[in-house]
Amino acid sequence: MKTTNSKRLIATGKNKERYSFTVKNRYEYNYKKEKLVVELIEEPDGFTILSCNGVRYPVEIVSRRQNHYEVLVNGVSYTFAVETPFSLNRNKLLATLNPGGGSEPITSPMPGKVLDILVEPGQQVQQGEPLLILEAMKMQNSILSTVSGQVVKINIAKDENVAKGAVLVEIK
Amino acid sequence: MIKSLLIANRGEIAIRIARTARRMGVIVYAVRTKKEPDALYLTAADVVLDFPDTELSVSEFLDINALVKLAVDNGVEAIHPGYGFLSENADFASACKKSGVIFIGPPAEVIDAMGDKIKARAYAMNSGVNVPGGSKSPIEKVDDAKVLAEKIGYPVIIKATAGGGGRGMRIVSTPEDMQLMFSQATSEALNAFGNSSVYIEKYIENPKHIEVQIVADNHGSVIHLGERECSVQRKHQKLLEEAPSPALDGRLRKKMTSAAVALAKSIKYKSLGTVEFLLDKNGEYYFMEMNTRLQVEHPVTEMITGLDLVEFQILIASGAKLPVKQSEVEFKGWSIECRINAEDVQSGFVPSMGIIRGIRLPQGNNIRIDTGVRPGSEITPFFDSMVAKLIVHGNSRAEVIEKTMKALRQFHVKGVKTTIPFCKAVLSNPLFRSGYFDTSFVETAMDSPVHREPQEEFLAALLSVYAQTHNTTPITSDEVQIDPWVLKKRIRNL
Repeated sequence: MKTTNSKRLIATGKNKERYSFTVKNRYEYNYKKEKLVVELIEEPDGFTILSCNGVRYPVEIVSRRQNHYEVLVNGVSYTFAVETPFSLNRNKLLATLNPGGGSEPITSPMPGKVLDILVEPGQQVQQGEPLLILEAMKMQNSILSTVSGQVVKINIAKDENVAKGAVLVEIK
Repeated sequence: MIKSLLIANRGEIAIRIARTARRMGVIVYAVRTKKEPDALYLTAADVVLDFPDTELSVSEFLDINALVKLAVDNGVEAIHPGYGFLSENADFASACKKSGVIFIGPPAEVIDAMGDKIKARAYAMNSGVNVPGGSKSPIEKVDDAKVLAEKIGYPVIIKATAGGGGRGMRIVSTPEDMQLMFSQATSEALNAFGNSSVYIEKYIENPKHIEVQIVADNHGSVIHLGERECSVQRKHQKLLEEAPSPALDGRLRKKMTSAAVALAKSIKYKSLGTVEFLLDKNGEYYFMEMNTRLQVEHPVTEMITGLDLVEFQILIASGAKLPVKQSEVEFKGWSIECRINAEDVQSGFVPSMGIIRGIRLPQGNNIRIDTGVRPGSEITPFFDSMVAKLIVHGNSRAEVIEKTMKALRQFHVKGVKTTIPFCKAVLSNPLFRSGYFDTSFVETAMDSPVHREPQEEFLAALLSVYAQTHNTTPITSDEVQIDPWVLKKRIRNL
């Protein structure tokens, strides 16, 4: 008397690569009509193994934010957003209604200390122009602008320690 | 023969040194620091000494007085500095000598002569080795730098006089960049070496980085143990090394190794050392610098020669003669070393801090792993980010590339991101396989910094969907649903 409770989930990667799965139950999926029996196993030595139709791969779920996942397979990082067909379509619609517009944040690629800031708010910068000098692991690194535009905001001060991913400068 | 030895270092190299020393019957002392009180390297020693509390802000392994005092107070005969830290510090070598402790390495004068890059250039020139055009004394002002750069022609490279490891080094291709690069180089040099002095040299564009291992005893014999190819670099940091080099034929090998031996003889070198050369497109080689210590990549030389370089260091420091003659050194097969660092390659090689939650090491013949971590070890910002070195030996270059690739596929680290996928990408790159790569390889010849196994992306998508399903499906899903007939019965029986 079991009801078929299958639904579709679509994983979209960074470069819009898309994989669509049919979920039969928590351990059975279909991909392009191929049946996949999947299980996530915690091994005694601390490793996480993804078993797919009996073949085992070492994996790791690095982070989860809502439906966004960063996972490692063989140590290579992948990010995917998992959505139902309904939410995928809704997001597509929202994207067409509100294209771009915001400022581009320049984030810190590593934790470190700001040694020098080379730009001022209001200054025009070219893509590839150094914005500030960040010291990390005793190496001085120039943080370059990823876009051309005007510096709208500088969020850090000289000699300040910053965490990885902190927004340093905003450019519009 | 030395009877006891203090290792003034940590991590894999402390373990590596302890292994040979203990095999030779030497009592090994290790130094415990507050930053990693239960590190793996401490288990490799016979005696563990606690580093005393000091008010100095310098790193424990840079504290000359405290380290020498530790050795003296505990009656330890010799100190091995490993690599990095004080390994190329002449003051440390002379402080040891003054206190009657044997420093395992060359005499202080030699370290000083080679450590000052300007002096080293002069010595190399005198012994007949080619050096690139450049300054004969330190450059203090940007304007002087500009004048000299005009004379020898751009691009030029600014280097720290006390340099090493790529720090305080900047390439300048146009006069406009000189100001920024000069100030960056001097302040970085000051931070890293406590000495802001820099000099300028003609920059050899996209050379190969080839180094020759030499060994010299205190009785005047100097031999070489062949070359190592270290052209796979990023920002002057070596990432993967091999021996021998695919770029050298017998004639060039003979010329370069003889040059290295000639230089070592001319400066009365003692102990183990490495002469680094740049090899340009025309097969011309130039002296770059000499490293007066054991190198990170020394295992590839050990793999092809079957010799133990740390054993040589200890023997020479004890005053023994070299146990082998040049004619007895045999080179067999090919060896590759992969540096497995805790770095996030896909985010521009930023350090990946964290706790190692699991390690799976490859196993097999001709595989050697030098590591200083175990599950539970923490990768901290205090020390370098090396997790392990994977060293593989094979009969030919093609064979060792395949073997290394296979070993990397069995090498897994959980908890931090590592350079394993990067090493795989290097080994599977056609240019690397051809042997015609140079130091621009990592920046220009790699389509992707990571190697992706087939199906990897699909599996990542599947894992994400699996995780989402398991997070959103209530535990009382259909597999564990209570049969309504059972429920009805239960209610009736209440």
